[in-house]
Amino acid sequence: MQTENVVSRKEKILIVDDAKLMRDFLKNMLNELGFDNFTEAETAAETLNQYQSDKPDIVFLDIELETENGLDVLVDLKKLDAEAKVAIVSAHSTITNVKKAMELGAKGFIVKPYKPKKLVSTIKNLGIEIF
Amino acid sequence: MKLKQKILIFVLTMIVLPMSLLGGFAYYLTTISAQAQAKSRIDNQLSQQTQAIKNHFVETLSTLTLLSKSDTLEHYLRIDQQSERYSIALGPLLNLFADYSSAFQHFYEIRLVKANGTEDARFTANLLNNTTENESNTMWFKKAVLSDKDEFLTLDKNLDNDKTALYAVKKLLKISPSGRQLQGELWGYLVITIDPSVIKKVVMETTDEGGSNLIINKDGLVYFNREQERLLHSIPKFLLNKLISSSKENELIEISYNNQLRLFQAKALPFNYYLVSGSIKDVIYKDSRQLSMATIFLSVLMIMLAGILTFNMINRYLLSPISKLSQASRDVADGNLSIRLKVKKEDEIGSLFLSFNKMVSSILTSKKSLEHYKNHLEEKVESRTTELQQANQDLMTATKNAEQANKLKSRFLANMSHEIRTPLTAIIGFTEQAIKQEKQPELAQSSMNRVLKNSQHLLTLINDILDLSKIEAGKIAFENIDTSVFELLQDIENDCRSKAEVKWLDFKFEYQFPLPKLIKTDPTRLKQILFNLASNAIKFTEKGSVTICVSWLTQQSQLQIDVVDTGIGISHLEQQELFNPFTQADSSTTRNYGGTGLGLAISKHLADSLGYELTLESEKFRGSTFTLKINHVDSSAEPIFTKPDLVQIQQSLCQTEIDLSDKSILVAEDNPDNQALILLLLEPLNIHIDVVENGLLAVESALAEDYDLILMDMQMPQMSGIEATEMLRSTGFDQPIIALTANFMKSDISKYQAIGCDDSLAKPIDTEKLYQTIQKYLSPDAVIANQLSEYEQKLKSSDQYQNLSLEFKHSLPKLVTDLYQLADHQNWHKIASEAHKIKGSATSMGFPELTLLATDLERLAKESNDTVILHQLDKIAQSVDNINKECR
Repeated sequence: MQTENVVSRKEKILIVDDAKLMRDFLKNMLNELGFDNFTEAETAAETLNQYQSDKPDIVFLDIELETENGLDVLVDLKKLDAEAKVAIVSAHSTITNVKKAMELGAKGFIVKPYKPKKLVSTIKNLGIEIF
Repeated sequence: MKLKQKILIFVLTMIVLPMSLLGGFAYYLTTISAQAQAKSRIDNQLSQQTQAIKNHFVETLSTLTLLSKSDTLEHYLRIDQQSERYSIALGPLLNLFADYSSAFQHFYEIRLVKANGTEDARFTANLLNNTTENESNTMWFKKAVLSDKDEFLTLDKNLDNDKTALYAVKKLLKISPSGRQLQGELWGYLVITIDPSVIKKVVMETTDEGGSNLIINKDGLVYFNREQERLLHSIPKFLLNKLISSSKENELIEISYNNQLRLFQAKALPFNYYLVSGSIKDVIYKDSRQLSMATIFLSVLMIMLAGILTFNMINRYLLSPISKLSQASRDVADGNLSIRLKVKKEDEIGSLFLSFNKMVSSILTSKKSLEHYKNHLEEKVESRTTELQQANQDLMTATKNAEQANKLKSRFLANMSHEIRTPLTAIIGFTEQAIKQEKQPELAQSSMNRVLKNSQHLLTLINDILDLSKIEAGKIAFENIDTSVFELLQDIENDCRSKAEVKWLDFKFEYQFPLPKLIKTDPTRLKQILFNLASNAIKFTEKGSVTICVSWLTQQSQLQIDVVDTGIGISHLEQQELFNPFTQADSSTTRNYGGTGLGLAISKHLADSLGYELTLESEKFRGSTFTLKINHVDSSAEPIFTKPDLVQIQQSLCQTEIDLSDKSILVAEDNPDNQALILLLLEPLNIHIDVVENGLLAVESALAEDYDLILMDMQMPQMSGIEATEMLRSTGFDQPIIALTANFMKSDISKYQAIGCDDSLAKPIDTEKLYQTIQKYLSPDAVIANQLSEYEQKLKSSDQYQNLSLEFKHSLPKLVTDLYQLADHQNWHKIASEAHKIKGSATSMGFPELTLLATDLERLAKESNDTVILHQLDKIAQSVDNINKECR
């Protein structure tokens, strides 16, 4: 599906969201930026397993999972790998969430619905050069 | 009483006295025991002697009995007829007697004496002169007649040889011819005269020198005496009684005899004789006395030794050190500080001595320093007096200065008060007028212009005061960067020309080339100095010209700038006060010319701080020349020989070159008036503006919405702009953030930059700067903008997105049905979470109106507001309906 004039990117991306629609949507956006190496997870357990097996470069972690809180998953991910690059995705920009996520070591906080511009700046903040 | 005496008494009572008592007791015991020993010795000797004599007596008597019972004697006695007897029996009898006499050597005479006292038969061992043949007058015969005993012993004088002899006498009874003894019929006596050698020998025996032994009878008659030369014939009666009683009680009797004390004891012998034994007391007790003497001697020796030793020890170890110490103390008290005690031992006394030595040393040190002080006191007094005089003078000067400063300050405050009130009066008055003149816009415009002018003046005034206080407190950091003098002076010209033109003054610049192209300085501060000088010159010049001359003194490495005016000039007296703050040449000038009077003071301070020289030459009514010499302008700087062409930047209000209508910005500002002002100022730009009142909301809004720029006040309640900026940057927010701040110090600005602000704007807001800044940051990098829009376009048109959107659209009716069902079950919690999902996805799928509706629904569901929820659900259903209709 990748457009020809976009440079292919090697970074592996783990997308954590309980809604398939949203995962597909984010995948689509990232795809258009040249990323095509994705793994997906819906729950905390899946996330940790995927992280261990695939060693993704960046993680998009939804805060409002079906039964779990994304921030708890963030804590576990950081325990697994203190250097893990995680961007939090949330429908809320509640300051407590933002503050906590940043304190726990998140490298980005993106609020749904987000525009492509925001996604780009978030990816940049994760240390990946695009544009 | 001295300690020595006390200790002496102590030693005497506690040591000498008890020891003396012990010694005395020992002496007493020794004496007693010696006496007992002597007594027992005498007693023993006496017993032995007595026994020997007794034995002799018994032996003699038994021999006598044996002889008396011999057949020969019996035979002899049986013959009554004397002649017959003599002829028949005398021979054998005498033979018998001879046998006995030869057997017992000391039996020197054995006889038979008839009852009437005549001798009948006799055997004599020695040829004795026997003068007496009738024995009836002899002592033994008289005793025999009187005695009722059959046999006895007696000591008597032998009348034949006049020597004492022992007579053993046995009564002989008549014997009938048949051999039977005839009772009551005395025949006569068998008498043995015995030499008393045995008794004499006993008497002579004694161990003691000077000891005496006596044999006496019960009447005190002395028979034998050891001391032959002092023959004692009889013992006095009183003495005899004592002796006899002593024999019974076994005690020693003390008798003074021949000027010697003697001790006697008597022991009874058979037949009423006594053996008396005596010794010289001194001789007996010689040994015991020696022992006693030794005891006494030893005791006394011990007492003396113990006393002397104890006393000596105490004296040596305690008293003499104490007296040494006290002597040393007296010496120290008398002023001899060179004294030191010799520490011999590391005991308590030793440490006492050490302490004393230390004390003396420290006394010596303090005495020396005291002397030193004393010696230097006069010098010090003199120097202190001088210092004091100086200090007094200084104090007077300072007081004078302080008074002057106080006066100046008061005057300044009065001026300030006047200066602040003046523009404020204008501002308030004209503002009121402007409000009233609502219907006369031209008049209102004119009033508002005056308000603006006065406000700007007020701001300058306040800035000047703040500047001066900062400079005085040394709180300004200076830059040192390449600066073009021409550009700087161009700015001054731009700022001041209009003022000069108003007064019809000739405002000129004279450059003496060559001049350095660039100099190293702080452009802001240098400009401030030059602006002050130039505007000052224009202010105080009524006619003529104001000229700014620039020249390069290459040899001194200086750039000189003169500001020359043809104004009122300043007298010499006024010149001295001119650069002091709070001063104008004349307080009346304030009223005439306005101004804060701070400009020159600020300039002077700044020049000093930068290391420049600011001087003044002036003559009253002829004009003044202020000269600024900028140091360290190297001759190596690039010289130029003509004035470079400078582009005149014409700034104008609202000169929008870029269309900003599609941009949106967020303003975070807590003060409502400032919010309103900013909105008003930005109105001409035609941008979408959202306003929040604190950092928390700023973060939340910036993350939730898409702003192209944020104007962020740095001081806000709840969360400051600094904190909010830091947080936004950490989340990856990369749009420009402009700091709004009243703290426009350089250190503050660099701090804001460090935390992620792109630029800073000072409060009060300079409108032009605000426009410039916003335009600058809203004109994005064209390349990136293109890339972004290309990306967005591509995204919108991608098949995948179209499919996703379609999929979402088709799922909507089912979602609405589900929501209604949940509402029937009053499951508000589930409704909230569903609404949350729609909110997050709808916009992305191209249905932003649905996101808005879902946001409201989530809020309502959380409040469990059922009636309104149903109404909201209806709205959503309607919207979904529309979406699907459009699609068809």
